[in-house]
Amino acid sequence: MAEPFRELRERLLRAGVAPRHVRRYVNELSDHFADLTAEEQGAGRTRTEAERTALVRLGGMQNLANAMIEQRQFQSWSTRVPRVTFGIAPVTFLAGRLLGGVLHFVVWLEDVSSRCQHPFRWANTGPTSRL
Amino acid sequence: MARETNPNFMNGIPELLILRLLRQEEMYGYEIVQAIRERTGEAITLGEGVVYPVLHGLEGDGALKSRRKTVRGRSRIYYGLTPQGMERLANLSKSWTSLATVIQRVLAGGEYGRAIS
Repeated sequence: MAEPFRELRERLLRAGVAPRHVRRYVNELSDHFADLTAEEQGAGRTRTEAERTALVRLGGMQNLANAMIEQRQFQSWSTRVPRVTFGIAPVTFLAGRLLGGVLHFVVWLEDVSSRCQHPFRWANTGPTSRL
Repeated sequence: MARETNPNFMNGIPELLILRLLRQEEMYGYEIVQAIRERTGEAITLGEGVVYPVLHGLEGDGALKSRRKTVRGRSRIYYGLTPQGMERLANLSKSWTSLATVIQRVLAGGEYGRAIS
C-alpha cells in the first residue's frame, strides 16, 4: 500500500491545518500503521489483509481528519486569523518599514547638515587623519 | 438562562487515561493505545490514530513533553508528563472521581436518585 495517508495529508492541508502539524501527525500515524501491520501479520494475516485491518484500527480517514481539524490550535495562522494575516500584519509591516525609512532619512539629513556646518570635521575623522 | 454544560464529558476520557499512563513512564503512541486497551479490559477502544491529536494538544498546553528516541532501529516519539501535566492529572482525577461517585449514588438510589426520580 503506497502512501496510505496521502489523501489525509491533502485533506488536512486544504482544511487549513498548519503544515508542521500535518507532517508530524502523518509521520506518527505511519509509524503506528507499520506497528499495527506487523502485529496483524504476526497474527497470521496476509500483508494486504493486515494493512486493511490496520487502517480500520487507526480509525478511518474521516475520523482521523476530523480529530485534527476540530482542534483550532492546529490551524495555521492564515486560517485562524485571516484578517490579521492578510490585512493588519502586512499593513503594519509596511507602515513599520516606511517609518523606519523616514527615521533613517531624518538621521542621515541631520548628519549631512551638521557636516556641512563644520566642513573640517570630515578631515579629522577620516582614515588619513591618523597618518 | 442556559444551563452550564460539560462538552468535554466524553472527550476527557482519553486525556485522563493518557496522563495517568504517562505518569508512570514515557511511552510512544502505539504503546499508549495498547496499554489503554489492556488496562481497561478492552472496555475502551479508541480509533487508535485519534490519540495523536490528544497527545499533540496536551504537549501544546505544556502538560506533556516529547523526545525522539531510537529503539530497536526505529525512531519513535516518546511522550512524558511535565509538572504541569501532573497538576492537570490531579485536577482531572479529582473531577472524575467526584463525578463517578455522584453517578454511583444515582444508580444505587438514595438521596440523588430520589431527587431525579
